[in-house]
Amino acid sequence: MAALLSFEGVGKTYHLPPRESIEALSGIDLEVQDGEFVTIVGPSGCGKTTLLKLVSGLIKPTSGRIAVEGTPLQKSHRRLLSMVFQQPALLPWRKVLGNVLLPCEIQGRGRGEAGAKARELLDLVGLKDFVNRMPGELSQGMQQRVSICRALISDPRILLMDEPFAALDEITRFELTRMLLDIWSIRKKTVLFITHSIQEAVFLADRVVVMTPRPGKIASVIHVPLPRPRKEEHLYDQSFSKCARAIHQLLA
Amino acid sequence: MNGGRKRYHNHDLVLTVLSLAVVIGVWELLVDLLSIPRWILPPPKDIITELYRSAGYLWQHGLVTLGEILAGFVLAIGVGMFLGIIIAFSPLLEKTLYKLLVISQSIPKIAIAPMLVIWLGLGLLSKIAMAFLMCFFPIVVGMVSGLQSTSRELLDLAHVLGANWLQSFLKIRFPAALPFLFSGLKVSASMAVVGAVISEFVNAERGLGYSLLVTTSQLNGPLTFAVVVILAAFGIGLFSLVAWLEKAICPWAKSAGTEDRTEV
Repeated sequence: MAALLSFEGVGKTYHLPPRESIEALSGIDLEVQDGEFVTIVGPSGCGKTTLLKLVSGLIKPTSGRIAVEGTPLQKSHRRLLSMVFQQPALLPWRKVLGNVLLPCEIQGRGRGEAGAKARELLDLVGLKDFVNRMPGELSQGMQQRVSICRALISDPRILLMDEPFAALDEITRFELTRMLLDIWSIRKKTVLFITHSIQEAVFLADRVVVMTPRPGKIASVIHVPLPRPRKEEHLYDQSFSKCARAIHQLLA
Repeated sequence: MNGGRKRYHNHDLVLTVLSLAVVIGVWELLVDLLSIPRWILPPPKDIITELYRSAGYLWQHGLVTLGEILAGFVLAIGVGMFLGIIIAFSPLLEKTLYKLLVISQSIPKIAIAPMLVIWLGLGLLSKIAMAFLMCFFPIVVGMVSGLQSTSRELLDLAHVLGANWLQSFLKIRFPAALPFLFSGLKVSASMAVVGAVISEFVNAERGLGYSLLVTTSQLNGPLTFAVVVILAAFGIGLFSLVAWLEKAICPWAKSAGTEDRTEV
C-alpha cells in the first residue's frame, strides 16, 4: 500500500543575499501511512517547521521530492491538508463560528451544512456556549481550540500541527492534548505534529521522528508501542520511559 | 460588559465638560480683572451672545466651508484608499509613486494655495482641492501600513486554505488594515478643516475663512471668536464622526480595559 505522504531525499536550502545560504534540511526520507499519528521532535533549528511548510506548500524543496499517494505534491493537494499554527491566528473581526467557517467560504463549500458541522466541532471541543463570541473574548487556550475546529471543518486527510500547544500553560496543554487524541480517534486522520516536548511527542504518537539540526536531518524514527486510547497512566509506563530515554540520547 | 463601557464614557464626558467649564470660567474672570479690550480677547459670554446674534451669517458661511471640507475629505478617502492599495501591493509603485508623494508633502501647502486658484479658478474647486491635498496623505500612509502589516500567521493561513488574491484581500488583509486606516482618517479629519480655511484666506467671497479675514480687519473680536468656535466644532465633529465609525466598524481594535475576558 502506497504511503499517504512520502519524502524522498528532500532537502531545503535557504539562500540569503548576498552570498550566504542555510541548509535547513538535508536528505529527508520518510513515509507516513494513512491514519498515522506522527510527531516530530527536535531542538530549534532542526528544520521541523521547514518540513511542515514544505508539505503545506508554503515553500518548495530545493532537492528531492514529496509525494501524496505516489503523486508529486501539487496545488490541488492543498484540499487534503489543514494546518494549525502555534498562534491561533483567528480573525478578530469574526465571531468564533465565522472563524471556523472560513475554510468553507474560501473553498466554496456549502455553507448550510457547514454551519451544522462547525457547531458540532465546537461542541466537541467544549466551546458550545461560545459560538457567537468574538475571539478577543476568549483565552488563548480557547482560541487554539477554535483554530483546531477550523482546521477540521474541511475534513482534511492530513492534519499539520506546528507546536500548537507551545504557547499554552502545562495544564491547558495536557487538556488539549487529550482532547486532540479524542477527536483523532473519532475521525481518523493522518497527523504530523511538531513539538519540542519529548513527553508530548511520545504520548501522542504512533511514531516519533527525531531530528537534529545543522543541517536538519532525521536522526531516527522511534516506534511507540503503547496501546490506544492513551491514558495518563501510560506516562509512567516502562515503554514510555524507554522511548523518552532513546529520544533524549539522540538529542544529547 | 456594556455597563462597564457606559460608566467609562460618562466619566470621560463629565471630565471634559468640567475642564471646559473651568477654562471658560477663568477666561471670563481674567478678561474682567485685567480689563482686556473686547477686540483683543472677548469674554466668553460675548462670544456666546455673538453666536446667537449672527447665527444666520455664521450658518450661511459655515455651510460653504463645511461643504468644502466634506467634499475634500470624501475625495481624499476615495483617492487615498485607492493609492494606498495599489502602493501596498506593488513594490515598484512603493519605490516610485510613494516616494514622490512623501516628497510632495514637504512642500508647504500654503504656498500651493494661490497656484490652485490659478489652475482651478476662483470658485469652490480650488478650496476642495486644497482640503483634499491637506488630508489625503495620512490616509495613504494608513492604508499602506495596514495592508503591509498583516501578520505572518494570517498570510500563511490564507495560503494553506488556498485563498486566491481577491479572497485573501477581502477576507483577511483589508479588514486587518482597517484600524491603521482609521488612524490615518482621524489625522486627516483635522487637516481637512485647515485646508479649507487656508484656501479661503487666499481667495474667496464666502466661507468661514473669508469671514475671518473680514472680522479681523474690522477688529470685531466677538465675531472672530465665534467663527473660530464654529471651525473648532467642525474639526471636533468630523474627528468624532470618524472615531465613532471606527468603534462601530472595528470594535476588535479596542485596547484592553473595557473588555471582559473569559477564562479557559
